[in-house]
Amino acid sequence: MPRWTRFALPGVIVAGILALNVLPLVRPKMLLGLNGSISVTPMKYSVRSAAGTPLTTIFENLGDSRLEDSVLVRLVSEAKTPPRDPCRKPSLSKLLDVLIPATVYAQDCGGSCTSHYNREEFEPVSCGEFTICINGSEYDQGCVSHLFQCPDDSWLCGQITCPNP
Amino acid sequence: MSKTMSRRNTRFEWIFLVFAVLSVPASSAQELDEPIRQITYREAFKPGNSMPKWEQGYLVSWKYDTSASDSAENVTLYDRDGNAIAKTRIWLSDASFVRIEDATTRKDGEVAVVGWATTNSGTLAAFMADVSTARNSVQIMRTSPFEGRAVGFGPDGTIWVLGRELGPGRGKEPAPDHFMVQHFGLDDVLRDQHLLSSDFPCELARQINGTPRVVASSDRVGFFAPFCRMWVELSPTGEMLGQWSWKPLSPITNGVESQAGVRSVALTPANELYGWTGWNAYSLVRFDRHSSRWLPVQTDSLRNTGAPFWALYGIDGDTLVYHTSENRLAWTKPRKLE
Repeated sequence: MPRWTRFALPGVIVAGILALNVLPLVRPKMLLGLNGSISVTPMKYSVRSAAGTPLTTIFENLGDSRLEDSVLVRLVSEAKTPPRDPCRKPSLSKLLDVLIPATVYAQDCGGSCTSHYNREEFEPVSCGEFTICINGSEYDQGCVSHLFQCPDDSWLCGQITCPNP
Repeated sequence: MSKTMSRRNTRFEWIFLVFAVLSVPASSAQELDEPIRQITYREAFKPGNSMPKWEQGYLVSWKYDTSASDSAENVTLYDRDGNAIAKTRIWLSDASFVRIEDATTRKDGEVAVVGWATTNSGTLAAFMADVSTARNSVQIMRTSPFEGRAVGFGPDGTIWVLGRELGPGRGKEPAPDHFMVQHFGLDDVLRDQHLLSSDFPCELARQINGTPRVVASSDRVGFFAPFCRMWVELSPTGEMLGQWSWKPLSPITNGVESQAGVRSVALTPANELYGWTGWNAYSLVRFDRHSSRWLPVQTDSLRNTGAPFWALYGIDGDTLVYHTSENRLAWTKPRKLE
């Protein structure tokens, strides 16, 4: 590899990262641009307090509200790869059968699903009261609006509850 | 669905049907007409996305969770023909993770978003974002310790947020008394706050039993609280117009409605409130404010049209917009049964 590329390559990578951090907006006209190419327009960002005071970052002078490390690690991990565990089950009913005699119900509809994340971990609500654990995965019972697409192109949906421990 | 579950479902549907039929005055019964139009929104339905919302002539769809390495747009606006007309990535400098709790849109394509972000060290900040597609700008308003869970535009274009505050240690200790609604002016500055938590039996913004919603008609703003089974209406200037609560639609188990329950709502310009119960039969209901009861709306007629009713996504003038098979939305008008 030529010597100059050792310096040029990191530069290109840094420039790429910077470009990705410019929050893009795809405008209607741009979607219909020549050769089907999509243009990206930088967005101007400003951050203020609710009262209108400008802030350097949204995290300025915040310290009290903090997520535990384990929760944060999991959030970031699941943001990268939304779990599809429910869809790997042969069917929703199979998933539910695992829980019997737990109180279980499902919505036979499109568009809403069990959530992949136990939101209640953010608050000291008993996990056992609101979540289930199957093969190490926890599913939120409360959020009906998360989408999970199944391999057959259907949408898994439902809410699940389990008995108190 | 297994036979066991099918039988169980059928039994509950039947019980719900009998209960509904016996308790509904014939004159108020409604059914849905055949769909007026159907449009495919394939891109709006993705794993990791929220259930989209139809608002003010647009479908708004968003990805719940975004990490720093995920450079794709996380909010998309679609027109009524299924075209993606605007995309943006909501992100905040110094963040390692962003959660979008809710998003909504206005007639002019302005988008409002509520959510929160964390740093690498776990510091959490909640925000309301006003995205202007016309000005290419995003105005982020930090709302912490108030955390928005649902957002909607009022009749005058101002932004209303339903949310909550958590106590110290993110809820390990009780939260202090707080307002559950924040109202932002057209300049995005907090204008006023409403609905003190101590005046209500529970937190309106809890995302249990369904999805909290902020919806508006031409003369009011409504707040749907599925966990509390409550509906609250304020005037555009914040006066309380009324509040209603209803009994569970199915037995309560572990604190939640174990089968049917109103999961989401949509409000027509004439202030008819429709709800989606997320249950097989009679999943569409209409609220009778006089009796504080949800009345079933017949959706059977749609079964043979190739566009069965799955879930209510919003209102478009005097038509309901619902999710049907094959990633399509369908438009239909409710009408009174003879």
